[in-house]
Amino acid sequence: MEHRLNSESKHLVLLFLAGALLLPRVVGAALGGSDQRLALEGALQPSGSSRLAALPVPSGVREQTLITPQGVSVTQWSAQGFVFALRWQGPMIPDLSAILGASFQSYNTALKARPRLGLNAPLRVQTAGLVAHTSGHMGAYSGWAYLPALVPQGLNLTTLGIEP
Amino acid sequence: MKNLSVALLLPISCLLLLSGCGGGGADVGFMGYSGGYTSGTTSNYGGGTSTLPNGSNATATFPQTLPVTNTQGAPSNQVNVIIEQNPAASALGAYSTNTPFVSINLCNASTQPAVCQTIDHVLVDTGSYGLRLLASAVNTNLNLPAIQNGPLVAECTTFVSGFMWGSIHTASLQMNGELAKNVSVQLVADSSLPPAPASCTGTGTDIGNLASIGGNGILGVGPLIQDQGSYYTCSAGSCTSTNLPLSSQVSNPVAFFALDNNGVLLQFPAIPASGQPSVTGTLTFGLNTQADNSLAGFSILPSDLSTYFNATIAGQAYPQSFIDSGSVYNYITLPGLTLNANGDYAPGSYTLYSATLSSNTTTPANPNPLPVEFGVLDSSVLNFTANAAFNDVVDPGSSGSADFGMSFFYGKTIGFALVGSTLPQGTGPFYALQCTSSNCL
Repeated sequence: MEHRLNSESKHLVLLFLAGALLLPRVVGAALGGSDQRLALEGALQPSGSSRLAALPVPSGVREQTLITPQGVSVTQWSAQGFVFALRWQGPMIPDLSAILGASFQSYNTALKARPRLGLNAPLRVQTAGLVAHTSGHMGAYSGWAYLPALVPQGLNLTTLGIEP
Repeated sequence: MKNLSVALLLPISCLLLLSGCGGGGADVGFMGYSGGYTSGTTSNYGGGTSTLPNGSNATATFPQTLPVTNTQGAPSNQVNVIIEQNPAASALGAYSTNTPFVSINLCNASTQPAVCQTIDHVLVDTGSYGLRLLASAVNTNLNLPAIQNGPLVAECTTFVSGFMWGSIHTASLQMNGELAKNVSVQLVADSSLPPAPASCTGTGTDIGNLASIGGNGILGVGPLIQDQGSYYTCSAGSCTSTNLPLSSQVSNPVAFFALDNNGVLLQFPAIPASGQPSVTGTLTFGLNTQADNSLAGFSILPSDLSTYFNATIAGQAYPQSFIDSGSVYNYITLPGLTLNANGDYAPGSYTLYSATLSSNTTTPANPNPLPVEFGVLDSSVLNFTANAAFNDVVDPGSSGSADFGMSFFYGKTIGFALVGSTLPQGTGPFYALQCTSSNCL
């Protein structure tokens, strides 16, 4: 697992150096994608240091937590090399397109489809491909997302602080 | 190698941040005019017309216009709040259901005489902090100054429903007898800005428009002061992330008032379960500072520093609950109820639910867990065209959070004590509740 991270970090550094001066974004992992560094600018946290769940990481599951410069904590969980779930919390909503990857389109479609419910009515996305939730208000938002097809068999998502 | 990549990221981040370092900020002292309040003692408030004054643009002598007379028949620390269908939103096919509106007077006080403009249908939001106005609703001759020299500062303001991208300017805000001088405000969808960067559009969908907001802007008067948002500096057609000092950030204007700067009261009358075409309430500035804003007799609900408290509903705890006038309905999970085609809970008949509200932390301890009630009615029997005010529409909430939205405000006066304010009832942030009707709905 560490070998994988090391080789990918080399790519990351090169990609980042190439893109950093143009875009403050990071190429990396997204929901459903391969198990790389989280695709957000920020500081990776030591393994098992998720401030979100404070729950033991299930066996066979790799956890990675990052804190963005704006103070948003993002944790992603992967198994068999693919990211199947993530959870975030912070003063604002982070760049979900970066961490949801291809699933962001489903998320945004659900967001646009709902009637005007005010600024902060909680959002629940429930499609066959993506289940996601965002709630909170200015200064204190949180959310999670998972891909049902990639959740390891027998894993109880509530152990990750996610309500299936 | 993991550490190396992080180490490389940090200096680059700093480079990106450099342009924002040391930027000048707006004056955030609790300054303002020092005139007295001569008419703050009447208790017969809540009158006024049921529609807001239309926007107008006038050159005003400023601040000599203060203290102003009671523009709405109210004490000078109070303005009317109207729930109604906003005609401008209706024209776009958008409902402004349960959206509390005020009129504000926006001024550029950097010139003499100051130039001011009345802007109608601004949403009063207790879930956010600071004034955000559609750039298209602000007359160009106000020419609000940017908050600092150099590259224009922009903000990506995120809400669950979407983001607002806009430029940051210094303005003065007058509401009846209150003046917030030189406060940072956001002009949303400002065409002079480059397009929102991917890190902003990636947070959701763009709600910086009249149809999404329901009005011309948002007046965030919740219990915190700075918005602590995502700021950018923009030049040469692109924008990069920056750290903006707290003193320059878009901030709750209430904290800038001369005297009534420690919180607000929102008061609304009770309404029937079938709804009502319009409702007139009041937004009163200050807590325990005037005869009309005493918290004597209120139930106090302490919150944490994120303005959250615990709600217990049907035996289930919701420790990140909040009271938010910017949320249209109540968003509270009610197991066992089915949803109708609107996505709203649909009990067979009108049903009252109980909730117990209490502090979610041991400090401050909650003196008295507070019982409240809210109604639930199948919204398919409600007329959303004829009526704008409803107290009993409930949608599913979050596992740990009950969002008591505008539905909850009717029949109550609810106080929001600003963070850091020290009152006999406690230290802010906290909520204060009192019923204005027999059933408190």
